[in-house]
Amino acid sequence: MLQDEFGQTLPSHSISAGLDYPAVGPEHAHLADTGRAAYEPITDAEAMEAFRLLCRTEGIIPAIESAHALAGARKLGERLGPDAVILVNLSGRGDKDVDTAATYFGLVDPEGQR
Amino acid sequence: MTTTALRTTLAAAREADRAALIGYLPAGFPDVASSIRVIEAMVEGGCDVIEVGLPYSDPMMDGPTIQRAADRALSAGTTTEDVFRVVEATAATGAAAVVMSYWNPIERYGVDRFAERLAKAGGAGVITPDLIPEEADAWVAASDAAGLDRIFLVAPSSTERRLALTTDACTGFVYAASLMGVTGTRTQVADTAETLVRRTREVTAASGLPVCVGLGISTGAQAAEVAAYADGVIVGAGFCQRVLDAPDLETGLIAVRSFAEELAAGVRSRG
Repeated sequence: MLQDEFGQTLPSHSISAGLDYPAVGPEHAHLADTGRAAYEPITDAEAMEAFRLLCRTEGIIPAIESAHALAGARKLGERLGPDAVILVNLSGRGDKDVDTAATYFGLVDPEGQR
Repeated sequence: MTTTALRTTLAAAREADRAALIGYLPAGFPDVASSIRVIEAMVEGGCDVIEVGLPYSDPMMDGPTIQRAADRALSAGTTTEDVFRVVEATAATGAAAVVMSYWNPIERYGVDRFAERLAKAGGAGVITPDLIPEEADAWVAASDAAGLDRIFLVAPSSTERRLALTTDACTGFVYAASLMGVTGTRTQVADTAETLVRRTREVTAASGLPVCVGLGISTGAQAAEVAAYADGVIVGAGFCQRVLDAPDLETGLIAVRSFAEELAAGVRSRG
């Protein structure tokens, strides 16, 4: 958990509301500790680039949370090469995220006039 | 350990055929010095036990009023050390002082160190809303060593097995959460409260562990209603609200004292 010396949670940031939380669930901690899962960080920019890519290439709007997985898959693909088969769990849809995405990509002006 | 100020206080209330009045306030709300004055007013008004809250940034059991109070305390820079200072001041009033804290700040401070420091400050025990007995081995050992009571929670959803397991792990009292919800004032005491107390008493018949009810009690009439079947009545948000609503501290203290008097009359109006 992100915490200070007194055990108070520290502010977190993620462009994805579902990931903007300063702690990790016990299941994930257990999977990491037992070596059954590996975790890699993805930046807001990487996630949003993957978001844009899936929209443009497949016409599927991924949830921004899931866009992190897509960005991770791209990185993994670069390491494993073109013959690799990678399965991505697209865990959520992004129609709930269009406002965030529109703001991120500069498609709305700051006054809210579209 | 033979006894604690908490047990003595609850036993005296039982002897007097009334419920004890337990008042909650986060340490450091609205700041450390003022929180001590609010607690003194609560005791003057008739609180037998004070639950000193350790303000926490992720208070999963608290509704908006106590969240606001805790936020104020944290914004004022309240730390775990300040909580011990408030406990010392609370114990000096003659009321039994217990800490109510989520687990992470205690774990972070060091479980043994926290217990020793709290005992030294004159605290009688700790209410741990997000710690379950199965994961409390370190806390059981530390609280035993320091002579502190440990209060776990039961809820209307608790099974018979969990009621027995939880009350076996408690000393001092067991905190019965009146409803499946968060802290805050409500117009009616949940009818789940009396059933929960009755079910809890079925597993504490041998030990005689006191059962105190919290969540949603905010008037003298509600306190009297709960006092008819519980050993203690726990009130928190109502005190915080009076401090939040007051234009200045002095006005708030008057409102807090008068509210405590109303509740104290309530816990003496058993059936």
